[in-house]
Parts: sequence; structure tokens; C-alpha cells
Amino acid sequence: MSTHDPHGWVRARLAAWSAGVLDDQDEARLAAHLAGCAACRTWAEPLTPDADAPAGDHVPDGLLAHWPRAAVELHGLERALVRRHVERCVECRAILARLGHDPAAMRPEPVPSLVPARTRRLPTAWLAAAALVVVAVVATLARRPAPAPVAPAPAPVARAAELRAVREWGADAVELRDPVRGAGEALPEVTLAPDRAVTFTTSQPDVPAGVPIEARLVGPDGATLARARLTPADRGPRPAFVFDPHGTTPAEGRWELVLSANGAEVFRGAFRVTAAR
Amino acid sequence: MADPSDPTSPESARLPDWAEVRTFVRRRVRHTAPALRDDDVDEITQEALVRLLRVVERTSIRNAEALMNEVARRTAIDHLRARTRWARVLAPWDGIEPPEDAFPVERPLADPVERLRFAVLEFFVVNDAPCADLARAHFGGWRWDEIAERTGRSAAAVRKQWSRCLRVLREHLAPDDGPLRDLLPPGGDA
Repeated sequence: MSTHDPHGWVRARLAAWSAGVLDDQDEARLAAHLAGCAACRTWAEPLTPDADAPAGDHVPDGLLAHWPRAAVELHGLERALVRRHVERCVECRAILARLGHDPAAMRPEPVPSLVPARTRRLPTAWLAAAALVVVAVVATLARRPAPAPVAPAPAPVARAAELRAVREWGADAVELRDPVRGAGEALPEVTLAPDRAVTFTTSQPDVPAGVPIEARLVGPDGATLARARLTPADRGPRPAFVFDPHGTTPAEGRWELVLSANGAEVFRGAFRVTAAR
Repeated sequence: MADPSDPTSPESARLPDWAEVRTFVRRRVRHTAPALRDDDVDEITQEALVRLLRVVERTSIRNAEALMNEVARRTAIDHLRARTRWARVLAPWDGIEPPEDAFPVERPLADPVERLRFAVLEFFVVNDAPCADLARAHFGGWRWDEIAERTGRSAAAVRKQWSRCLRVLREHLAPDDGPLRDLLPPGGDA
């Protein structure tokens, strides 16, 4: 779409405008066009961005409601994102189960990474599995007189580090305290490895029983590494979370587990991470 | 003190038998939108059940019947509004004057605008990108100046960051064959 058809240019961007995902230049251009074009303004009116629209933090209800259709019709990046979300979202999986749908009906597709492929590390298990597959394929081809056409194997899904709420934990769980201790005090030491999950527990924050608790794990550079949601149904005697790097390499330094409820921070516990040697 | 008019007040109540819930919700959807076809009513009922389950997952309920009634009514109204939005996004419009009452031939799978928001946020979450925090705040209804104040930056800097986030996402969408690329077209004149 080009400047030769300004109405078409606007029309192609109405969904993005409505969802709040236009960049600043396009948004300014669209607003300027709507200000001067009554026909487009009328057309766009039902799509005016709505502050009360769903925040996009869960799979849209319409997709869960029609899961069998979604499992067939979704494709590309959207399919991969929906599947990945359902994989880690207890609430969405519980809803699918209640509706009698199988979360696994959505077969996997890889999610493209923001990190260039050459800098990413593959888990040792994948490399070993890939090596075995190569050996097996070579051996099979060597025995066969003519190669038969083979459907491409589905690509493995690159999983991001995950934080998930749990109701039970073992004696090796790392207990975090709030408030964050001063610079001179020793923090709990945690050794992390790409293939090793760690459990954290915290004191029970002062949050009413019916209110969900949002947890996020903050790395040494201040970036949020993983998030989890503790629903009222999952609340045990203390909040507990498992952090699984899923093959990613944890950065060394000071990490924090931050809990929030109703938009306010209710707990912040720090620990020091060293990488497994 | 629990508010007796709020069906989600933290008091104990349970949903009735699931078949009963479905029947009740369907009846209320039909009551709210009597002109709809049966398959539309079934579709809205299914969406209302998802909403209902989300509420039950997140909070205690006090009055199950009031909650089911409210969720069914709101879902039906939202669905009717969403259909108008779908039409504006998906219906053909070849000329300068838009058609007055155009609806897409095929009903989309969920609201395209909701799907777009979910995909944008989830993409940043999966990639563990700082853009995820910005997307959450923006989609959560915070204005740019409010986000700027919370993060100690200027509103212009926050807006610029969001534009950069979207540029990266669009680059990754370029080879994608799904509907997202159409919903989030390239920036500028492309």
C-alpha cells in the first residue's frame, strides 16, 4: 500500500491502530488522515483504541473457546505463540481441560528468537539427540538402495526460561527474605546451570486470599527473566516457585524475586547466582 | 465486608453442575441477543464459559447465578461489538467511500485485535525482551507519560522504545505466512 492510496494505507493499519501497536510515525500519519477524512473516520470509529480492551496477557478467550478450530486454522508465528503460552499457563490449561479440549491438539512450531541464531546455545540433550538422528539416518541410507522421500521432522521448540508456581517444595528450596538486605550482608548463594531447575520460597505476603500474586525474576541487569502467576487456587502456606532455565545460561550476579498484587509490590527477595562449573 | 451486589466478593460459592452452567449461560446469551442465529449463540456461549472459568480461576465467587448472568450478558454484548470491528478490519473495501454495512464472509477465529495484542506481548515474553514490560504497561491502559514517570524517562524516549520494539517484531514477521503479517503491516509506505 502506498501514498497513492491513502485510504487503503489507513485501512490496512486499523487493526494495528486499534491494538495500540503502530509505531509513532505511522500513528501520527494515521491520525492526520482521520482528522481530514470523514469517510475513514466513520469507518474507523468502532476500532478506536479502548483502554478496557483485553491486555493480551492470555490466549484470547475466543481461541480457547474454539480450540479444535484454532488447532487446525492457526499457523505460523501465531500458532507457535499460542502453543507456547498454553504450555506454561496453568490457567489456560485448566480452562481447556474444563471445556474438554486437549492442549496438545496444537502441535508445535518454533518461535523465532530475537537473538541471532549463531549466538544461541542448544542444550546438550538436543545436541546428543541430533547426533543420534544423524547417525541413524546415515546408517539407514547406507542400507537402502534408493532414498525414499521423507517428510521434514518438526523443528524443536526453543523454550525460554520459565518460572512457575508450585504448591509443594523440597528441603533444597532456597528461602528468600524481604526486605532486600544491605550491600554488606551475605545473600543466599544459588548455583544455576542451564539444565537445572531451582525452587524458591518466600514468606507469605500480606495479600488477601482471593487476590492473585504476580511473580517475576529479575536478573543482574534489571531485566525480567521470567514471570509466573500464583492464582488463589494455587496458594499454599507460602508462595513457592520453580525456576527452570530450559537450556538458557543464567547470568552470574545478584537476582531478585519480586511479588506483586493488585499492581503493588508486596515482596522483594534477593540472592546471588553463580554458574555451575 | 463483602459486597452483596458483587458476584465475585470473597465469600464461598461454587458453580453448579457443568451441564447446568452451560444451559443457564446459553439461555442468558439468547435472552441478551434474541436475533442471533443458533450457531452464533453457541459460539458466544462457549466464549462466555471461558470467561466464567477465568473468573473462577482467579477469585472466589459469592453468587454463582449472578456471576453467570453477568458474564453471559457482557460476553454477548462484547461479541456484537466485536463483529462490527471484524467487519472494519476484514471486509473488502475497494473504493474511497467505504461500504455502509459490510461483514466478512467468513467469521474470524476470535477478535483479530485481541489476537494481535496477545501475539505482540507473547512474542516479547517468549524472547525475554524488555519490550514485554512496556507492552504490558501499554496494553494495561497506562499512558505513555505515566509509563515514563514510572520508569524515570521522558515520554518521547518511551514512545521511541516502543517503536523500536515494533520494528523488531515486524522484521521477524516478514517471512511469516500467518495472518499477523497482514494485521501488522510494514511501517511507512511499504
